[in-house]
Amino acid sequence: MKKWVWVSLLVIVCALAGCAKQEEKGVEKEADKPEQQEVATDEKEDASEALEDGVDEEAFQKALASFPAEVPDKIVTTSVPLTEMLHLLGITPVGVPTSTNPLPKDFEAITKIGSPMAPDLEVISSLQTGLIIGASALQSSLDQALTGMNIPTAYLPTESYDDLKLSFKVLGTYFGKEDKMNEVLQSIVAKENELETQGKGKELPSVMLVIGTSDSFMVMNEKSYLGSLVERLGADNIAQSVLKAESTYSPMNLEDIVVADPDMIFVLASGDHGANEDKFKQEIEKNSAWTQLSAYKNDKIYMLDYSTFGVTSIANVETALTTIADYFYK
Amino acid sequence: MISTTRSRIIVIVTFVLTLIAAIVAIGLGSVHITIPEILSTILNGRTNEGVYTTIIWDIRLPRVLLALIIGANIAISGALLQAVMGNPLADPGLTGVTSGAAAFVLIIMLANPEFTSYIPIAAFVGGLLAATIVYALAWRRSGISPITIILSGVAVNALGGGIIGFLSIMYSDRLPSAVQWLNGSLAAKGNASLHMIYPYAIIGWIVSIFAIRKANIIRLGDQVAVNLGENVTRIRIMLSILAVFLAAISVAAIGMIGFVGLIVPHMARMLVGSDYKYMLPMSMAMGAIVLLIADTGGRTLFAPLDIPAGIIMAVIGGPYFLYLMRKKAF
Repeated sequence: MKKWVWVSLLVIVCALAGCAKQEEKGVEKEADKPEQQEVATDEKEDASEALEDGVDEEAFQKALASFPAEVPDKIVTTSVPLTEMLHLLGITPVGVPTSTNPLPKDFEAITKIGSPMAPDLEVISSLQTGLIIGASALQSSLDQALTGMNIPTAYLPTESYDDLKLSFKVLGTYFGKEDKMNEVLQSIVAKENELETQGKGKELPSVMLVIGTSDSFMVMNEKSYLGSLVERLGADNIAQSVLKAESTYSPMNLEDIVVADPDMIFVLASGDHGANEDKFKQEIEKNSAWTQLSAYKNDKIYMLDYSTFGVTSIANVETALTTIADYFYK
Repeated sequence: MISTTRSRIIVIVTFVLTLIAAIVAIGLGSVHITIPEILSTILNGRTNEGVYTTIIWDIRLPRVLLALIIGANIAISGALLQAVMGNPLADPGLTGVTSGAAAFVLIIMLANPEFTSYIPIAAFVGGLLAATIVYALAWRRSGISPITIILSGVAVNALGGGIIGFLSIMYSDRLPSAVQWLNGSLAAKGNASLHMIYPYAIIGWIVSIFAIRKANIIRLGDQVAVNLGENVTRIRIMLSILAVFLAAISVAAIGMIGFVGLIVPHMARMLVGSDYKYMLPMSMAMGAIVLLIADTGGRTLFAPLDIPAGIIMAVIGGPYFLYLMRKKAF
């Protein structure tokens, strides 16, 4: 019972936060356009000043400064995306998180320290680690758990595409693995540029990102990993442009979705759902509101694989970007 | 003593009000459609394809009807349970029927999504199991003790909540698709859900009409019933099965909605007295109107966000329940 109260409270708080910033309703695409263009030109100016890898220098320095001055021998990580980064950089931690999401094969023999949300403190203590690296999103709960244990901690963001690049750069720089780091980052940036060239002069679709099923779903904005990839490719996500969604996942009114009528819909099949496009389409066919959407009529509803798009991963980011771009430029 | 003529008038007026509320609810939505447009859209039927046709015929109309049907179901279910248990505090939520049904539904929804078509049956089995446990625990030779019912309900609720919590952690990546459902949401429920539930609901209502006499007999106490030559235990079991059936199909369709089954029969009793001949239809109409208001509020107050009706009910119902307690209404 208690849990429902919390979940409910959370949703209400989100809703209130959402409505506090609500503006005039209706389709504001036209009004938004000049603004978006301005933003785009601003970004271009920034890009010329910033490093080639597109990582924000200030944020990078700040994150790097949060690490201990002396690089420790033994490190523990509580986050799957960060574990993956360490593996790419050729660094072996002494403790890795327990997770249903896949960890690098080479790390299978390493001590598991429990879930990212609630790691096993006894195991962590026994590893005598000099540093725990965790995901920023879980910083408060981890800090609380580690109170009084006197183990240095550092946190890196792992939510979005830009977060991944930034965190990877911080880890590579901190552990002195610049060569490997640059190799990976350059490859990613090359992919970005290649896709950008591919899309030159092409009209990008407006998209809606959905997680769940056709009759019980949430809409994702740019704060989600998938949303950040879509944003990087420059497409219009109706969650921001029309629905003004403030939180990563928002329960949205179908009426507004019908009015916004996105050109393309990406569905993140949660988990190893066994859900495929056919099954989702069968569900949609029963729901006459969905069948009115242009994306349905033009056969532009795509199921995306959770293992690539549901979990942030520097190793899969090129595949993820390419997959979305292919749908855009088809 | 409330006169029968007055009771009859109140019931009829409430049904008329429900109809008016339904018409108003069709007029309200996160997308603004003017009254003449609504009228022409409805009068033209599904002939012309357009955004408004979709919104009215595929989104609002099914949703309004679903809210009415499910509100009526839960309220009747609560009224019947209160008669069976001889306890004004009994309702599908407090007796664990709802969480039992919900736990079984989630076992399919999260753990075995390939069996989605069995959700209504699972809900019924789960609800029945919960009711059986409560019944077995509360059963004494001297009759059913109201306090024991509530305590057993608390225990069963805790068990259901535990199963729900466990599943939520085990399948956290699939949770976004179930969050809406867990909070009792009618969002994006279209004609398919409506077609699924209305045959069952109508069967349940017809059986309920025949149950009125039995509910009245049981309400007067076991001794009276025995003197009338009635089999008390059998009546209890039949009425419980009917109540669980109505609650379970509602849970299967839209998830957990609290308080409707508790507060509505209570208000109905205050208005038309305890005779189920008036109290049951009154609960039906009031349940419909209450859930309709909750859902319409949820989809319009914070538009384009769609706040689950279950949350609105909990926020309004909780304090109201406390107010009734203060007034020593129980």
